[in-house]
Amino acid sequence: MNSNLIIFLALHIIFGTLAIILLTAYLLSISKKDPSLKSLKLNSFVSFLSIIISWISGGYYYTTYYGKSVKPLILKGELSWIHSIIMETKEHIFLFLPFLTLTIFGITYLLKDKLEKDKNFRFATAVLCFTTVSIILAILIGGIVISGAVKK
Amino acid sequence: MSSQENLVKNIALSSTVAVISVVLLTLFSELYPPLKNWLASNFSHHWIGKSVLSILIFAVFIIIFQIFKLKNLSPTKAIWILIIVSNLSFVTLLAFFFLETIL
Repeated sequence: MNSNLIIFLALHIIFGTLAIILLTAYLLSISKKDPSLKSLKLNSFVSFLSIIISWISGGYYYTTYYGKSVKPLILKGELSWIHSIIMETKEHIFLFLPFLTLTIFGITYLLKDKLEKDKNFRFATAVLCFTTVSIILAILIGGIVISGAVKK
Repeated sequence: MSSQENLVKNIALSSTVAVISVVLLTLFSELYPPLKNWLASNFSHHWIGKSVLSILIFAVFIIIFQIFKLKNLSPTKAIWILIIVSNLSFVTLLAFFFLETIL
């Protein structure tokens, strides 16, 4: 694996992890009686950007290297199901994330007054955020498992 | 409903459609290899094809929902629809790849 691929893979992991941290902070903030709208706006914006960067960098690594060099190693080992179940699920559910984080970002920027005043709306947004964090966490755990399955 | 509430509702609904499109593209391309091949040959990789098509579908449906306003649907309900569809889609894909592997 050349240095460019290492950089792209690292960016994918770093920005994905950053999105988890920011969205968790968002979730904790929105659960308070008086959430800080400034921090909600910042967290939602940066987590959306982080997912976009993770998408592009992970996509580059996946489409140029994983299929040719990593996948065959996993498939010839005893844990081939890790590719066919975990990686296949991971690579596709990742495609949900730009839309989920864009929705959270849109909610926070466009309807900040409604977020403050409407408890039902705020709860729905919190659950959306929780869903998004859960999906990213599942992807992160999947990535760790996949890395462990590679035998050289 | 204000224009901002309408836009947020439409973002949530279009995101729902995009998520469903990812699931359908994934399932059909696994079950019908010519679709997977078509995606790979037109977008250099099937995964890039699914990414691009989901963005296009999102963009088209934002416009559709802006024109054909769903007045009886609140932004809160639209968010709940997105939540439910996202969770069901995750389970669907996981179950599909699990069954495809073991069967």
